[in-house]
Amino acid sequence: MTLPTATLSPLHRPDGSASYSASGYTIVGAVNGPLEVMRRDELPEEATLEVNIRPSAGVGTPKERHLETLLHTLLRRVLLVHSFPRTLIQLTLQVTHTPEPGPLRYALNPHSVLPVLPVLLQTALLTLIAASLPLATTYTTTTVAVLRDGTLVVPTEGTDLGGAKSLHVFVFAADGGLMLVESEGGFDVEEWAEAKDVAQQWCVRPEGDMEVEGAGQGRVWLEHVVRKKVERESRWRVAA
Amino acid sequence: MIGSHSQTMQPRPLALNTSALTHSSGSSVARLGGTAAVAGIRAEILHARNIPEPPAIDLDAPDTDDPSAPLEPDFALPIVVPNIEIAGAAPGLVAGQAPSSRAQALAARVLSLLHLTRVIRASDLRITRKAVNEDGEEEEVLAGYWVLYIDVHVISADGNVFDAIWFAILGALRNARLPRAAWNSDSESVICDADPASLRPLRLRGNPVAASFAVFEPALEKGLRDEKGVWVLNDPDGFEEGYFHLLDYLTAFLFEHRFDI
Repeated sequence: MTLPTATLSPLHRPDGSASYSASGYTIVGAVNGPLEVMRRDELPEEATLEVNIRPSAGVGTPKERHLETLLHTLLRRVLLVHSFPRTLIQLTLQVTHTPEPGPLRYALNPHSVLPVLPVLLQTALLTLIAASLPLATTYTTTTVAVLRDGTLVVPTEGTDLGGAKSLHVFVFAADGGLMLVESEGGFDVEEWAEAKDVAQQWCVRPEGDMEVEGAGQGRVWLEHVVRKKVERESRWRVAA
Repeated sequence: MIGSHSQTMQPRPLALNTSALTHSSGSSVARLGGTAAVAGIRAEILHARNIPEPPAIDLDAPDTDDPSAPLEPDFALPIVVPNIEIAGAAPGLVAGQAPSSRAQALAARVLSLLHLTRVIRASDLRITRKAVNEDGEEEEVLAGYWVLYIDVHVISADGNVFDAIWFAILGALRNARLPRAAWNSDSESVICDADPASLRPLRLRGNPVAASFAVFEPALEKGLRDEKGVWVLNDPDGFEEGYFHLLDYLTAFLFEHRFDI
């Protein structure tokens, strides 16, 4: 499995930025905040969160609005919005590269938001981390596809999903709690539970010292990215 | 319990009235408690010559009733176009105003679900004509498509607008009648039959039903951090959905039910 790549703070002007590439998508995120908020959008007890998603070509469509709604719901729970009442936190995600539409296009739904959703979510988190905004938790996310023959795959770029029966996106918090699920296609409860187990294995580090091959890869990768950021920022302490 | 429920798993009464609009191919009004949505379907012809990059379709492919079959490639074209307005006074009457982002998000979900449930058949929307190919044989070719513009106005929003919108759209689709459209080689365009007897309904695949649920976790609210319980509500009303961030999140499931009307 190819792991995603990330660059923290590629842009100099915003308060925080990140560029993230996974499963054929590349997304650049930038966040500014806390800023002064327009009176109309001001919330007395928490920060107003604004999520803007820009597609790689053209202007935003209803599909982007749908994705913004999904991200807004989740990020409002992740950011400590109550720490910055009456301010604005503005997050912009620009898709810069999209993969060629594969056979998945007609397997389920040509207008599906699920392939890009985990990439957007992970970019959003890295952008917030880069801005050092206080978060309630971090999260890891992955897609799981159930194929017609019943096998479950965590797709990467180039995985043939023409035979997909259903597609699921799972988001797990740092404590292993499930934060967001989006599913498309035909499936029953058992299949969904199996898909959840596969996603959990990828996203959440197993408890104890048990080393399971490939378990918690998403988590390990995220911790590596954060460790590198912290190391870079505390160079002045360790400089000999 | 406050709100219009007597039981957490009991939806509010649903009422559906079809053929509500005169000048549409199909329409219906759905009421779910205090929530009401009007759906109207307008069918317009899209000529094949106006499609810059037509998808590769096989007109001889057998038509399947199986909703788990792959989607017909025709749907890569915008031949089903849902638009949703959540009314204030009359925002749709002001030209150039896009629907609110919430309405657009709902429209994106509706479009995804119309494709995922395979409820509309591409073969119902295709308009074909006979043509002679290079070998001198007569064959069926695509002359155009019926484009279904599905316009939904939410005239009263009291929670769970998605389910009301879905029921209204399904009622309108079931109610829709399209005239017989045939290729006219003299005018080189598609001409509709004026005879009302030629109207035909859409052959929908099944009757997918929407059911939304809300989860209320009091522990997430200020001053209720010690509360342990979690409640799941079916068909939340406006109070349950929005008041004081009572809701944690909202999900929609679609169940496939097959019955004949």
